[in-house]
Amino acid sequence: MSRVKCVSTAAALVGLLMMGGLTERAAAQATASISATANVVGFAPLTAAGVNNLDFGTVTAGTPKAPTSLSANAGRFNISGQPTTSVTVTFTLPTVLTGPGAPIPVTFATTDGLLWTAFPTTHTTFNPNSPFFTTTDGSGNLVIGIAGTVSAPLSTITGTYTGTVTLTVSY
Amino acid sequence: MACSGWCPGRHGRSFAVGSVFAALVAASALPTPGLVPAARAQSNPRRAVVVPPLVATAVHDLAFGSVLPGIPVSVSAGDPNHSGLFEISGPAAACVRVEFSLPSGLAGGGAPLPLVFGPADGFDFSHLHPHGVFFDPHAPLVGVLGADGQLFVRLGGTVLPTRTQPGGAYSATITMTVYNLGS
Repeated sequence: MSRVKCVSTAAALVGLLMMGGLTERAAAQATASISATANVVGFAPLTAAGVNNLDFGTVTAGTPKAPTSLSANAGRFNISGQPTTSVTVTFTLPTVLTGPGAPIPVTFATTDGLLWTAFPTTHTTFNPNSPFFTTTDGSGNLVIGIAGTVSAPLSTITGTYTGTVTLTVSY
Repeated sequence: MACSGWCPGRHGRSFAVGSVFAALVAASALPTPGLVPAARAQSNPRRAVVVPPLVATAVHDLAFGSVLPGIPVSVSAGDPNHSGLFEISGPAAACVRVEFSLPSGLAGGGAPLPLVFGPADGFDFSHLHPHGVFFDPHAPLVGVLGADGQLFVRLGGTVLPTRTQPGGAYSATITMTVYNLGS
């Protein structure tokens, strides 16, 4: 409430001054300065997000199956952190997918790790069964993919089978 | 002077009246407000009013502390430990307009560290508003000094370090200007 009154008073003062009714200055002024301070330390924290599931699609019992399209069906993780910095990527990989019937074996070959240098067009491969040493790009980004092969036995019961692939990244 | 024809010292009472008039005329033509009360006090000491000057004081800095590249850090204007703090003092119940010169970044180790202020990054409190009121520091604040002639203003903000932000100490200057609008 007091602010409204104050504005009215100020407006009145301005009006009086404009009319020449007051010759002394109503507004003295004072200034002061402070600093805003911050200390930038360390590396940008690493973050990793799973952005696409490893999807084998429809699998025929007795026929091994790999993702149809690496860009569309391979698993994918987006990583961000300190630009142009070495990181270690490690997978925790399942050996089976579980579902309504007996578990289905899943395997990861030495070229099933995917380093997307330009998703979705360009990638190189690595062995996802071992730690992978690479580098974030100039913006601090890194895109890692994972493929694999699922081998449903002939006796497999129809249904949806799943497993969990975990990626860990560290400086 | 205007009163030179009044024969100082001989017209007794008239001298005093003439002097008051002359002093007021002179005072009204003076551009420096601080001289106005002095002129009046000299002509009529019994009616002198001592008005405290408007003073702005920087109490402490807006301190974001240690920040990591890529991770924004905010300081609330209500944070008593890290927000910037100004003290304004002057005549009790005086209306004041407060304006800030806000930097867009902090300078330091390399590229500027972006700094932004939100619509609630100002906070003022006084006897009239003991619990404080948030305001947008981009816009002038019109407030009233408390009965003790004081008004405190806090500033918060947010720094937005990029992931490529070089390490080091960064700083910028925030300036507050206060105008006395009268009582």
